[in-house]
Amino acid sequence: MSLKRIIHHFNVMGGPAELQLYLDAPDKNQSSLVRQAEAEAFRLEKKYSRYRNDSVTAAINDSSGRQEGISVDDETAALLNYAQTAWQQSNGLFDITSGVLRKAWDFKLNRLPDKKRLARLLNNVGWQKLLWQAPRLQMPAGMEIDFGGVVKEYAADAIAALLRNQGVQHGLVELAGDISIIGPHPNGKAWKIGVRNPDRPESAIATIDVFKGAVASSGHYERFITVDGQRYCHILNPKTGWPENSVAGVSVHASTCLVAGTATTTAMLLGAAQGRKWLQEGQFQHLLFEV
Amino acid sequence: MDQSNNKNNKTALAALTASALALPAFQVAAATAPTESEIGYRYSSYEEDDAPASLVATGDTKRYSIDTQQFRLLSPVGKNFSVSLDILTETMSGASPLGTQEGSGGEPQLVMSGASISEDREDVRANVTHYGSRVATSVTAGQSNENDYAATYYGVGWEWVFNQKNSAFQFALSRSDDKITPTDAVLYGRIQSANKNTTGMSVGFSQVLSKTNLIQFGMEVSQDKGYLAAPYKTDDIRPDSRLRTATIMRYRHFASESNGALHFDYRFYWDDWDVSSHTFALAWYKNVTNRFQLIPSVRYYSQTEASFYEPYKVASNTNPYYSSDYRLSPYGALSAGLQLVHKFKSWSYTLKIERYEADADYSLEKVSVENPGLVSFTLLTAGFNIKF
Repeated sequence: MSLKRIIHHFNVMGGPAELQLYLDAPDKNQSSLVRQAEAEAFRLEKKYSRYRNDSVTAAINDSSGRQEGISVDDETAALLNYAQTAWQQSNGLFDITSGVLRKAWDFKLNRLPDKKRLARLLNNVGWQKLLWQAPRLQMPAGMEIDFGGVVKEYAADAIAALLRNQGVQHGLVELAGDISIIGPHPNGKAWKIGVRNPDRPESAIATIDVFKGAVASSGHYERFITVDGQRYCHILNPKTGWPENSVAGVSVHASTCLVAGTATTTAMLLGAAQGRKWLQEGQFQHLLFEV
Repeated sequence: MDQSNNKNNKTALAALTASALALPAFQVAAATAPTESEIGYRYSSYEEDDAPASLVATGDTKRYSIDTQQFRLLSPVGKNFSVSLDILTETMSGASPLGTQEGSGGEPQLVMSGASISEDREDVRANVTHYGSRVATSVTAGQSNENDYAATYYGVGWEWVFNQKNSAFQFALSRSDDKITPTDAVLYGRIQSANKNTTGMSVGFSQVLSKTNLIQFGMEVSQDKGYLAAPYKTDDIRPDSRLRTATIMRYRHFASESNGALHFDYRFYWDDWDVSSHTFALAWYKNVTNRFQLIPSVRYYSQTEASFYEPYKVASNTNPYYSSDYRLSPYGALSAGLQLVHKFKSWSYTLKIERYEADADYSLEKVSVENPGLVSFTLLTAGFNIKF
């Protein structure tokens, strides 16, 4: 049996996605595997999109201010449990309620937010203001949650797990730069993952060998505005409403993309010195570049 | 950051990972239908040490050697079913102790069966498992045949997974009907035909404690009824029922920094013949490279004697039951093994060597008279698995 590598590109969650799979050649299941992987990505996009009014996210946000709250399904409950752990472990910096701050920040205009408006919105931010007792979530009026910080990473892991369960042993799943490894190359060699140069994002500043697990990256190159020569990136501190701008780029290798992504976001918010310390003390394998 | 934050942060990776693994996409461990077919083959050579000549009164000093071949086929059927077939053939040769007699110095001596025994055993077992969303149900039936022993086995088991698949509950029932027809029964005055049956029940509970820790508890109860003596042993008279119980604890720890898994198992056994035993087992599954796994293991065992066990028959014995079978004697045993697993694409190969030594001195309690029939053996196993 010989294996051949297939590379499949598609778009999901507003970004490019890539599957690299080693499959038996010829494999009659090839199109079915690719279709199942895409279907899983689209399922999660549809389920957690904040742009769709039939999503779980929309249903949860519609329930804000209601006394009885909302009862969520098992998968959403597990994501909310995860979000709670991430909030605790990041000392409140990784917060899925911080999405409302986007109402003050517009990353399409090179303009800083209105401070009064930001202060008002901050009243509606803070995981500690929610009542979460699985499967029931009760949210004060005006608050919103946004799975944007977890769902892409979770989807990469979910697709990798799905393909692994279908017997794929060698391959990787990439969703807009976040990578979940199915297994090493068939010859046992590691995948060489390029880490973006924060100042020249099209090129790699380092290459790391990854056999398993996942790599997530975050950086000030992703989405930002520049005002008076200062770069403001899109990852906002839920306590101040402002970004911390001292990390140029950070990559974390962990057992899952979800965990790696939470660690990069937290490091971005802590800033270079504190972020490096948090990653070291948390025993994350990481690369962090200061501005 | 203050001290408490630092402390909290130390566990960030572990805490996040544990929480992430509770998500549905990562749950593949329990009750998941296989997606590939598998064929496996094992060859084992079991060689008992010869009985020391000084301890043998009459007969051959050569003990058992057993060659075993095992064949396994596992295949998914549809999305929610799997079937498996296990075939085992054993060829035994050697002599087995007939009994013990008192030696000139009062020590027990073995009486070995003179003619060497050579016989074959075949065991065929089939299993069908259905994997539901939360419950896996399996049904097993099997048949084992030797020239003087036939057993038919049935079993049914359930496994429920819950608590976001972090917990699992297992329940199983089994039944075995055995028929014993000793050879040369008339010639040696052995029982000509006898029946035995065993009904068993087991419950188990497994809990994922964290990403790297898993614990399992189990209880097993079984009832043997019928002819429970050893037909080839002289003067072996045993009760016709035996209630056996075992309590089991298994702990698994994955040490990510050293890329290995520690398995610790403890088992307490008790039966109403008053045999009780403790078993402690420790194994280290070390991933040496992506393809090689090395598994050193050690096991310690200690048991007490059955209420009617005597090292040899004495005229003054008033107990209606009597046995000098070493398996009912007080003793301890130590074993150590080393296994190598090599994975290559869809193949995996394994080689294992195990050394087992039983000795009264290894017992947790002091044993005044050691049974001379205690065995020591070396077990060599080689095999392979292919997934396709």
